[in-house]
Amino acid sequence: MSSIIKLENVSYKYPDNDNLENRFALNDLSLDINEGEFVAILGHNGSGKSTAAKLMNMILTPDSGKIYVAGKEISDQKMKESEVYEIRKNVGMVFQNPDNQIVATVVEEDVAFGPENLGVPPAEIRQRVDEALDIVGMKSYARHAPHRLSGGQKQRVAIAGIIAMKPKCIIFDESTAMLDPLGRKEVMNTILRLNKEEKITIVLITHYMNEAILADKVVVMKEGSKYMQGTPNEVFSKPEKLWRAGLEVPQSIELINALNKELNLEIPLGVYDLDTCAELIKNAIEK
Amino acid sequence: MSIIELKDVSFVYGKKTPYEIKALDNVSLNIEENLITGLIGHTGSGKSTLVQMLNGILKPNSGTVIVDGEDIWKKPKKIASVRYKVGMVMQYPEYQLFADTVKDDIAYGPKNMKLSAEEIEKRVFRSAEFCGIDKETLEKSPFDLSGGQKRRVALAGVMAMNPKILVLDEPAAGLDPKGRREILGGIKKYRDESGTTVIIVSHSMEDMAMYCDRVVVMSDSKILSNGTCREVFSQSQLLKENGLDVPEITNVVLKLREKGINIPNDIYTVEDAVKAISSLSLERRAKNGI
Repeated sequence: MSSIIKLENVSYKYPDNDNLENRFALNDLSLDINEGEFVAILGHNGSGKSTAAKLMNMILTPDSGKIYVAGKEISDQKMKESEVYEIRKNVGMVFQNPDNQIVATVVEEDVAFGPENLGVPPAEIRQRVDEALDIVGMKSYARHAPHRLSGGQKQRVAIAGIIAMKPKCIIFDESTAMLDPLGRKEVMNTILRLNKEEKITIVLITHYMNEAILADKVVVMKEGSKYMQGTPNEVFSKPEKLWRAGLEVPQSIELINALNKELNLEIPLGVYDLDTCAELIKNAIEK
Repeated sequence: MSIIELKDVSFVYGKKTPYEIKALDNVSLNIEENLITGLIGHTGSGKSTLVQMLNGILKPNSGTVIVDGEDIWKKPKKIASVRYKVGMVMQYPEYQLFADTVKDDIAYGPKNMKLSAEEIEKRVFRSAEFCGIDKETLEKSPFDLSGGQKRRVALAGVMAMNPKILVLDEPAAGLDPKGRREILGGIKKYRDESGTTVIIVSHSMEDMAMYCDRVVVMSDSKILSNGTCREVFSQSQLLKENGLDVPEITNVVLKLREKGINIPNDIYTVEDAVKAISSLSLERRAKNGI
């Protein structure tokens, strides 16, 4: 698998950092995101997750270290503006607040905004907009006014706007944080579909452990550096280590961990569905 | 004793327009004094409308709202006074900060209440402490703080008004797990020490189970369920039929019951689940002479 985004020993400090106690926002971070992969990034508030995301599509440039997108180095400060746009076309970004990302007064016009700015011919824009709205399940809302949609629907329109630019990779920066459980489910289903069917690489920054367990790879950040990395199973089977980073594990893992200690059991820790989890506990206590 | 009483309250948005939506349908509800009550329901269930009834932001089309023994709409011109009694923290309150220093921002409410300088100072320090804001931070500009810290400042500003009732809409949204625990834990501590009645709107069943004494569930503009955490979360079937869920741990417990493990069905925290399963297992070991 070839990597689509690669960070090599990247450090970054916000210029006006007196208030952040002179801390690095990112400190010597190396990270590989492979083509077609679904990577979840977890970490406490201020751990550098969002900074890392902003470096990946050149909203920020690193103080030191190298960043490659699709094999091209993007950490070069003297890059031409046209080249920057080319990078951003490859790496799309969806933010937290759906209300801050919608610019037009009609859904389909909003989705067309990106490709229009890229100079895509009108006939192709039409086609891309229809396709994108279809993928996120918002086709029947094409002529609706965005402000009358629910949070989850707005966020899916924002995603369609990114898809219409045909990126190789989409970064979701806590895109489900402001949504209710239903909206969150809608957006997560859309993200999974983009990854599995459209083969778009996904970077998902989130505070929800039950979203992270759906990923191929989980990266945990702490104080600007990489703290853990592995499959969801590998990462979530170390509850103590996650707690030390200010995070938590799903309640089922917390339960197994506590039972192991309380009753001297040896139930292996991991990400299980309800049935498996209950079965493991039942077998262990009935032994 | 109930400090808030809603009697047959109905409310319709956009009355007599094509966008007419019934948001509250003959809702009657009592909120008990000194308790933390959680309010759940998905978007459009009417919970935000209900919350806005409590301090007179919205006026019911029919029915009465009684706060602290008084019908708040008896003298509509005096409606502002109820807002000192019922403090409201909206979603993402950090966007509402505006003063030069954190201290001034927290002091804004008490100042408007025309309290003495001394009293204002006392209240600022007290509520800052509850929200985990240190003295150094009080002198900083609120705009230099992180999102989580700003949230605390906004919360402290409402606490400083000493409301009898504190209403919080998703106070922990967007925070990391540790931040959630700190904010919700701080609110609980504040209630324990001040006796304030607290209402928390949240989507997280796990948080509700951990921090609330009672839970009110809304669905379709009506109250679907109202009781202690134990009572509400033991109705998993009803909640699921209405698109809601119970805490994950309750689902694990229900699965264990399905598999023939004799464990109570009203468990909603990890701690209780560990206790129940452990005592079952120890009983079994004792019986088998292990």
